[in-house]
Parts: sequence; C-alpha cells; structure tokens
Amino acid sequence: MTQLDRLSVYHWLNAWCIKPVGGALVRQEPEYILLALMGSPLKKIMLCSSEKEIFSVEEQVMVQHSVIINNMIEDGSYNHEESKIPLDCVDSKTLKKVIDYCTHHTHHHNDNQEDLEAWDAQFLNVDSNGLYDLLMAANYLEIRNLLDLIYGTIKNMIKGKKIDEIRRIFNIKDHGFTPEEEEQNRKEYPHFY
Amino acid sequence: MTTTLHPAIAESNPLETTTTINTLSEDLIAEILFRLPARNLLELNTVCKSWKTLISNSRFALNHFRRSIADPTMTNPRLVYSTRHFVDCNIGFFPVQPLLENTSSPSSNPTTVVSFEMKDCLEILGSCNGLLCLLEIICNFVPCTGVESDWIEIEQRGVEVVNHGFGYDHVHDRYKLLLFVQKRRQEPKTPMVLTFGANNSWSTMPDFPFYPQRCKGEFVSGTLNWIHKVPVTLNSWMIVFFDLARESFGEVFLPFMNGEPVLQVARECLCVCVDHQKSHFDVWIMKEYGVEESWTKLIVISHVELKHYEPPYPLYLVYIYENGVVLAIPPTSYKLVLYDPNDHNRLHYPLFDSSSDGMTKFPMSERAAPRGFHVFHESLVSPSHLGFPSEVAYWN
Repeated sequence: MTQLDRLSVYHWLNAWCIKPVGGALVRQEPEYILLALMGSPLKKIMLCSSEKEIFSVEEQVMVQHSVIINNMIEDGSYNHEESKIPLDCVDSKTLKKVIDYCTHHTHHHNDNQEDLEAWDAQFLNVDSNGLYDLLMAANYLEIRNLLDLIYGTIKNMIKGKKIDEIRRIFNIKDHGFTPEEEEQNRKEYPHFY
Repeated sequence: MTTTLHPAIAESNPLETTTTINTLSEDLIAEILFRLPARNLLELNTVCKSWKTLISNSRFALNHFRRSIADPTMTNPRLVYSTRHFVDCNIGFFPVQPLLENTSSPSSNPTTVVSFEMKDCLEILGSCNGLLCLLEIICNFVPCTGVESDWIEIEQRGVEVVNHGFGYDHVHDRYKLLLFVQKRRQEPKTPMVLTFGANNSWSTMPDFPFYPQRCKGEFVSGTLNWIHKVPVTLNSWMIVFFDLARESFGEVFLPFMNGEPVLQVARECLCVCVDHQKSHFDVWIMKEYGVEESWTKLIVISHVELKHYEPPYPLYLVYIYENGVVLAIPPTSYKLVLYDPNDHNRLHYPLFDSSSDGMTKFPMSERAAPRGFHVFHESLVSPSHLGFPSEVAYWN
C-alpha cells in the first residue's frame, strides 16, 4: 500500500469536508475523515502477555496476520481508548517474537522470496521450548503463515528420521503397542527402525 | 503452501539435533502429518498407537488426499496399466514424474507389478482418490498401502461389462461404480450402480436417456462424464454426465468441435482432445467444471510433429505435467510420448524398464496402446474405510 502524502490529502479534504447532519450541512473536521480513509495505519493496539506485560503494536500489522485479532477489531469488541487484548496463554518472550514476525512480514512483504526465507530461517533459530511456545501462540492467534512456517520446519525435522528419533522429538515415551505388534511393525518397516 | 528448510537453518540450527517438542494435541499432529506424502505416513503408523489411529482414520485419509492433490511430490502420480490379455492376472504401475526427467537414459524406476492369483484378464475400471477399481469380478485395490478388498460378484450372470465409470460421491461419502452390462451384442444395455460399503448394494436405474458410446466414464467433481454424439446431427457432440450423489443424468456444455473429441481428465479437470481440420490436435480444458466460459484451449499439437500419424485415430492424453509437458499415446505408434509445447514442440520417447515388467510377451515400450492406462495418485484411502472386508495384498 503506497503511503499517501498526508499533508496534501489534508488540504484537499479541508476544502471539501461537508457532511449532512440532521438536515443541515456541517463541516466535518478533516483529521477524522483522513483517519477514516487511510484506515489509521499508525493506530496502535495493546497486547497483554500472560506475565501482564503490555506490548504496543500497529493495529494494521496484527490485523493482517492474526485472524483472532482481526475478528476482535472488526466486531467491535476491542475499544481502542480503553482496552488491551489479554493473551493469557502467551508469555512475554513469545509474544515479542510473534510481534516481530508479523511486523517484519508487513513491512517487508515486497522483499524478494529469498530474503524473506533467510529472515524466517533466522527467526526460527530458537531452542525447542521456544519453538513449541511459538507454535502454541501462532495456533491460538491463528496466524496462518507463521503456522505454515513452523509446521514446515517440524515436518522437515522428522522427514527421513528413524523411529527412535521421531519418538524422541515428540517426547513419546510410551508407544502403546504390545510386544507382538511392535515385532510386526519391525518386520514391515525394517529400515525405519 | 509448502515451506522448504533454508540451508542456513539446516546447518546451524540446534533444532536439528536436540529438539524435543512437548506433547502436541491431535489437531496439531494432524497438521504436521498432512504435509507428508502418503508413503511416509505408512511408516509413521508405527511410531505410536495414537498416531496409528489418526493415520488410519478415513476422514484423515480423505482430507490428506485433498490437501496433497495439487502437489505432485506429495501424491506421486503413477500410471497403472493392465494388458487385457487372456490369463494375465497382473497390473503394473510406475511413477509419472521420473519420465519427465530421465528421457535420455534408461530409467531406473522399474515397474511395480502386482499379481492377483487365479484371476484372468484383469481390467482396470477406474481410479479415484487413490483407489483402483478392478474388474474380473470386482474389487478395490490401493497400490500405495497394498490393501485389497474382497472381490464382489456382478449380480447378473453371463454378462459383459460394456461401459463403466468409478467415482466418489462426496455428498454421501460413498464410492460408486456405474456399469452398463449386456448379455449379447445388439441387446439392450442395462445400467447398474454398485455402491461400495458394508453391504455392497446394487441398484438399477429406472430410465436413462442415453447409452455411452465410449467405454470409460471420466470422473470429475462427483460426476462421471462421457462424450455423446448429438442425435441426428453429423458433426456435433456434447458431454453427458452421471451425478453420483443424485444418481441422475445431465448435460455439460462443450464448445463446437470440428472432429470427434476424446474425453480425458488432467489436473483434476475435464479435457478434450480433438483432431482439428486434419492438421493438428487441439487440447481443451474445462478449468471449472460446469462453467461454460472456463473452456480454454491448452495446447496445439501439429500432426507433423507426431510421426507415423494416420487418421482417424485419436491422440490419447495420459497426463499433463505442471510445466505443460504432455504425456500421450499417439495413434498407431504404441509408444508413450512426451510432447513439450514450449520446446519447439519436440518429442521425447521416455524409456522405462520393460524387462522387469514380466507381465506378458509384449514389452512395454513397443506396444503401449493395447494396455489401458489410468493415472492414480498415492493416498491412504483404503477399501477398509468403505466398511467391507479387505486385507493387505502385498508389501510395497
């Protein structure tokens, strides 16, 4: 979206701000119309982590990425003057990462694919707990592209691995098969064991 | 949308070596598994009981198939064929993708042959969602998982199956087979519908407006389609369809064609191939089923490029690759041909391993045409999901 020259739009609107109110024609203040036209790109919203830390982030950024937040804003349940959005299942560290992701992708969506992928790779350079927390947060907030990125990474982690490794990765301590079933599995897929 | 692992992350990321992910809910596990090809998922059945339950579920199999259908690396499209000769109880299949790549060296992808004991003259009736429907009597078979259902007898005895169509009714979640059978030539054909399930049920159609002229009905979007000549006219054709859910007939618009169109399915859409004005073949595709305006001319193949062409035999389209290359069987040459519309229309004859075919006296590369080809995509959909007895026929 190209950035409009606010000053020139302001002057233009100044000359034409006429709005019918109660039968009479009233001049509407240009600042409000400008905000309405541009969808308040710099309007901020407040997100509150589980640790009660408040993060201020551009509304446009979160609305573009998170289905949950977009719905909240659209149906009016979020009041800009007073509210903050409580995210009790997301801690501060993870929330900050999520906000980073959304902000980068909004501001850099015109970058070429390779640069974006490199940034994503660096972004996911986290430890295992971090990845899990990110997945939970992205799932809760319904951020489609972050989810795809994380799922793709996990999928690549298990591709080509043997069964012990996969059980370790997913923390599967009890596989639930009887010894006979396990024996049968070994026979069917020997290269996998 | 698929994401590949960036080289930077593969090298330096501690994720690769030390990660464990805390227990994920079934939904999230499913999301990860959806992104893996059917083949890998068969192995993953052995990881733990809950994964096995998830992967064996029929809903999961169908959803996985639908999500993977657009990506050839996920569905691994294959050509399956039978020889339709006496005492031949085999079907063979090989992957389609390597044909595109190994055109100048002998293919290292051997044909997989599956034998069905004590059957004569197997014919493949159709493929749908990864299931193959075979006729000697009738059974369903899934090449990916190797599961074969029990064989079902056709109710009427001593009939010949003349026309057929196999497809999936997504409204009722049932697989159906439409057959036109005939006792003797010149006698009227009887249409019958077999609905697969715990009680395989046959129903006869009370009345139907036409007899299909071609053998196989093409399955697209819940319908079986045939080309039909408009009665009383010289040169006019239409497409008639059988709606599997409603079990009723209808007509689909076909643009005017200058020759007899041959119906195929490619990229999940209906295609027709027409011998146009005796100089070239046109391939048209209906991008959105039932939408008149979505008929688009896809490819033009001139006769000159196809050597040994003799009218009036049609060109059989087998598969269209992502990059527009066409795999076809040109008339009278009996070979599979790769035709690249972007590459000065050059032809390639892909080689594939016919020596391990072992199916009949006729090696693959010489006599392709007598074999009936069907494209299928690998999936986890299984005859056991249909509710009637099946067992694993072979290990893949």
